[in-house]
Amino acid sequence: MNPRNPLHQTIEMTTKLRRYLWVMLFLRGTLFAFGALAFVTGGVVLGFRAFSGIEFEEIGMLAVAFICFLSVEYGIIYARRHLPARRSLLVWLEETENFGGILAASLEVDALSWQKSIKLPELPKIRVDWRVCRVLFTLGVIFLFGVLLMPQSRLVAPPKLPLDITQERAELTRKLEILTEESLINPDEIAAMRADLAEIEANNDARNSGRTYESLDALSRQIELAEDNAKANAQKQLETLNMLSSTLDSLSGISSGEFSAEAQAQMSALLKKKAQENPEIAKMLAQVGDFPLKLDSKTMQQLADAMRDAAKAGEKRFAKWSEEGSTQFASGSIDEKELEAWLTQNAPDDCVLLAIGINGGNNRGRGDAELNFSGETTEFSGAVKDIALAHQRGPGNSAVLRSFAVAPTESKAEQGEVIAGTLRGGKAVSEQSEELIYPEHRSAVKRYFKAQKRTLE
Amino acid sequence: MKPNELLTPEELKPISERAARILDELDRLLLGQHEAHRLLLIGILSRGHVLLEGLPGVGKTALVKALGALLSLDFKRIQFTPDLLPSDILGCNILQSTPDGEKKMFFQPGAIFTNILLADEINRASPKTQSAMLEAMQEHAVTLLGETRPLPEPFFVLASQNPIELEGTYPIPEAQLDRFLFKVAIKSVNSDVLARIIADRRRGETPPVSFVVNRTELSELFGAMEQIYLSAPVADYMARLVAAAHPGTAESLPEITQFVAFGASPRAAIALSESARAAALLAGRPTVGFEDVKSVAPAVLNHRLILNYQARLEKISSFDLVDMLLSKVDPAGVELPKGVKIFAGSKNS
Repeated sequence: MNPRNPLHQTIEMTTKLRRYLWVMLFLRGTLFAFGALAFVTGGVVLGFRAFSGIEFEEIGMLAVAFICFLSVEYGIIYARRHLPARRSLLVWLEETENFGGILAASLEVDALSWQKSIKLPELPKIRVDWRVCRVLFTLGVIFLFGVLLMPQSRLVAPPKLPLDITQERAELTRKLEILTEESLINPDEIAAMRADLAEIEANNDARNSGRTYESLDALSRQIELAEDNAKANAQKQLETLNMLSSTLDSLSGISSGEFSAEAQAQMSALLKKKAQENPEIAKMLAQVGDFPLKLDSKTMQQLADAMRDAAKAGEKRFAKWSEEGSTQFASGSIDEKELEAWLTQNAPDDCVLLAIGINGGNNRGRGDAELNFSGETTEFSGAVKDIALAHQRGPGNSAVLRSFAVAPTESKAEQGEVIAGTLRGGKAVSEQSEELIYPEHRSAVKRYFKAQKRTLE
Repeated sequence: MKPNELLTPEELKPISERAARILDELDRLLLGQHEAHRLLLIGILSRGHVLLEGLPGVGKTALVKALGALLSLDFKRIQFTPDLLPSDILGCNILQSTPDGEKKMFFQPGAIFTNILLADEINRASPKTQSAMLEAMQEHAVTLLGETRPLPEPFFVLASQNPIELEGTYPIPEAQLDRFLFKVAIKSVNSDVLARIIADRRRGETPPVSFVVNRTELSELFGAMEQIYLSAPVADYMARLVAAAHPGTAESLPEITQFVAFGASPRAAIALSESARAAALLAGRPTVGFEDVKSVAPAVLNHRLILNYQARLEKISSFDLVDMLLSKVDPAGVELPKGVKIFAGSKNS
């Protein structure tokens, strides 16, 4: 074909258009693939770094290179797949420029005689919607480089640091076992307490020691309450047994003629009522016969003996249980004499001890929890100092004194307002928890009472 | 069959000028109906039948009469009435005496034996009478008592119908509708045209024709039609357009499936190609372009799309659907990914 032929020039134009279109499609496919692959690779790298704990810069660079290669490959495939044929573009040009079918016909027959009437258009414009690609690419790149450049410390969670609550757990478990063995309380309640204990163990973390100790305290108090109730019940039952045995013993001495049928019926009803309250009595009465009981001297004597024996056995068991199941945790993991000596020696007159942390044991309380102050106050600008005291059982049991030394002030009244922390912690602190006034709130409380005082005056 | 080479400009120019002259003459005779004249002329060049639809008094009958006069062809008119019988149109055998006294059956041809038949108000005749024209319209022949008689060539039926006054009328059956190449809507003219009609036309009479196209010239026009080249991409576009008008097929558009009960027949595709050739000839081009297809597609397809009740309820016309087809079916068939579009640059001289 003559190169100056407008038809030929139109075909050249479609070739240019195809190149232009190829570049656009290639860029679109490449950007899209890069964004998508960046997300996938970033996710893989993130997972690998999080689980393996390995920081690998070289592999990160390799991953980027791999993504680039795959994206370019995809871009080429995408462009090839969607690039229209030259013939199709020529037909498109025919349709949009209204060539009247000359261009389309020129693909099949010689249309040279009509060449003068063809007007060449400008190169068509290609409009590509880049929004999805751009967003995907940007987010993918940010995500990938964020993953690659993120410090390892942010990826891997710090290891769990559990407090040593072996002693407390053992104590509570022992009590729960006693309660279970003696069938003193409802099994569902015991199961719930065991679940609570397991939860405390699962959530045990030194960074949140206050919560752990509070939970242990709460559980301990719950068990104590259950135990007290059980003891009260047991005591009541023992008293009932003793009372019944002595009554029946006395009645057995009365002759059958004097013990009327009406009195027998009354006694039988009383015994029936007691049997309903106490399964042990019900068991004894079942051996004698069915209600209404025929209470002759022999039967009553037999019952009185049985009840006395049961009462004695119960007393023994109660005594043993009281001895074993004391809810008071063993205190004294701190050497108080040593502490007193240390305080005398180290604590100056104007220094105030706010809190003492004791390492190990359930006799620690809320006072041992972390004190996170949101800001400094004039009353609370001292330095923090942790001092470990020597202990006879070894360094693991040593007490740690956390002292906050506050500079002495001229106002004696202000000094008096600072509340000293408890030396023992544990139960005492948990009971006083609602009365605790933090230093940052103190000025507000002062203002409140001053205002009230003025009103009263 | 496709011609091997295109008509040269020298060959095409006198013929297309002749067609353009006919169109100009029609425009001169009847004012303000250029598009209807163009479509009617395309219909004649395509050798198709045309159904003219319009309100009373818009010039349907006058247009057909003017065309008949212009083309110097035999022209007959039948006023369709409810009591019109098929024999009134087709003709019948009559017992007559021969000069030697013998009695024989002689065929008395009906009004259909002509070149241009004006079937005025065709929807007023009964379906039986309307159906009598089916064979004549398709085969250009009439069969009576087992004897088939060819109609004179060329043969055109130019029918008119009134879209209102539907009482006492019979809608044209779909089979007969399909035989009409075009259904052309004759619209009312504007006030400027009306003013010219009032000023120039005494009692509305059309002026006499200034020239007549004889049979030889008409044959040359028909001959040139055979030389108009239809390229494969344009033919492919027409095929896709007609295929998309069928509801429920893989190629159909959702709107078509929603609103169309029956789509266009293959006869529609043939009609589209023939009329597109005629449009190209009228435009003075040796090849059929996409714009030719688009210009005739509404007239070809609108009466072939049988709409369903949903379309009637939503007041969607077949013209709306054809416009939608033309806007949605890509002529070039270039499949680009979503979000990529090519826009034409402006033309250089």
